[in-house]
Amino acid sequence: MKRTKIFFTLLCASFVCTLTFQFGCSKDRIETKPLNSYSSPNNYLNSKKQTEQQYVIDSGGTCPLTAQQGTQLCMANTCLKFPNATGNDSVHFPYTIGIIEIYKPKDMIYAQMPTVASGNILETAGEVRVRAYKNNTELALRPGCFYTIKMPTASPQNYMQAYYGGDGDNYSDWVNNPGPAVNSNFADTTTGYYSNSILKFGWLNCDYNRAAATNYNLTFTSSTDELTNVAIFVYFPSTKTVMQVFNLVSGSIPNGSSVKIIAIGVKADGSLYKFYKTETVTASASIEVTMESTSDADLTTLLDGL
Amino acid sequence: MQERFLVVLMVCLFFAADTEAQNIGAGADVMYNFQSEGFGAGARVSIFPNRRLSYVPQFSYYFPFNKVNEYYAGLALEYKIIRRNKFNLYAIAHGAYDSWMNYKESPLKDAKKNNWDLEGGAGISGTTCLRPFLEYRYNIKFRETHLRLGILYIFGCKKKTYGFGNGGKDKRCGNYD
Repeated sequence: MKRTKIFFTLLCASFVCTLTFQFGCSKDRIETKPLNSYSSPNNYLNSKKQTEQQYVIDSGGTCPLTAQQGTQLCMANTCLKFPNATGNDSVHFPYTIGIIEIYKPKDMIYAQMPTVASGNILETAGEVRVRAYKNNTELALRPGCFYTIKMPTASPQNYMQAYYGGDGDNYSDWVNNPGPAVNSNFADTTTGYYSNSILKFGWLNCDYNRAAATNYNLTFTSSTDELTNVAIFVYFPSTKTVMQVFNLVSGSIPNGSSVKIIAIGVKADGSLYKFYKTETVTASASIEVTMESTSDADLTTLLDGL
Repeated sequence: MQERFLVVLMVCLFFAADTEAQNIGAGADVMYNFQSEGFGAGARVSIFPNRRLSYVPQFSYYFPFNKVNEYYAGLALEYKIIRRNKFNLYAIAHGAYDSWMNYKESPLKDAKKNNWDLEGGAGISGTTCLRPFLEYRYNIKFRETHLRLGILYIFGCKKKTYGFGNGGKDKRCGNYD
């Protein structure tokens, strides 16, 4: 009987020891945990971004063309030319107008189209890309010709200006008034719209430069996650500015800015991770990022609420 | 903290004064922490070593050549679950102050120098005047286990024998309650 008691006591002790050793132990004090790694988020972001809307314009078409989010366009086919045309070769009906509308910060993030020009944050009323095609050939505007645009807004301001980007799908730095023939200021005479005449196809941004005298930077670090492939954005609600973070250091952030920080990670299996933090920037600081699992629906809700 | 430990030691010495009563044992041990991969040494006093419940103030030190350099000063309760002529099996509950000297070198988030730790474990010991013991403990705070091997001398024990299996009852330490 005594031996049986001893045997079972030792057996139980061995069992507890084994369980403890196998499952309850940690080497956290001496071993650095491998960081969570992520794949490029581009496929996910591209799958969510606004796509180009295409409208076929024929001789019976009327002006303006109103796109899905309310952008209004007018252009004459006599102002269009083939890219290498030197004479007065006309572009005949029908032709196609393509437009991408980006008005919400969520869509700026998905498209990775930040509103920063030469390192200065821009107050923005929206980004659009306007192009025209004839039989899959991209057209250009004749010199001196323009198309008119109205960009919807709830409360137009009289200081907003036209900033121009590239023609492609990806962000290139915004440039204010790239040529003497390009109109700069948007007119706010029409309630509910910013209107302008634009002499160049491609990306257009209705903005105002919000550069400040005193600026700070945020540096992003993580003890849990490898951030190289994580898309990090800084959003400024007061100016609707979206800043994308490259190489883990933000651009210049004006002193006193209240910002929202969003990081999006996509693992190799497609699962989504996010980081969200609000911050008032009064000095350069380091932000410790800890990614957490999320779903497409939750992330969409977060971005909708910015 | 160090003052408190000194008070405990003074109490131990008070008990030790009555050496005939076999109320006090003193010993030393060596230990290995499997997770921090550290070697250490310790010293202890056992109050009422022959009773079912013993009080064991103890000090442990993990040497500087380890990845974790620290010392513990604490009090263990040892409850003898099985008492036999040649050995005891006991459960251990241990609370201690931990001074982690090189915490800055650790990758552990929120590592700090001053810590309070709880341990649970089990041990087996001899029953002679000079009794070896072997303990396996689990540190709840750091989720680490360690094994310690040592020897305890019982003051006032008449028959100074050594280790297990050395003769049975007649060589067991007296005053076993």
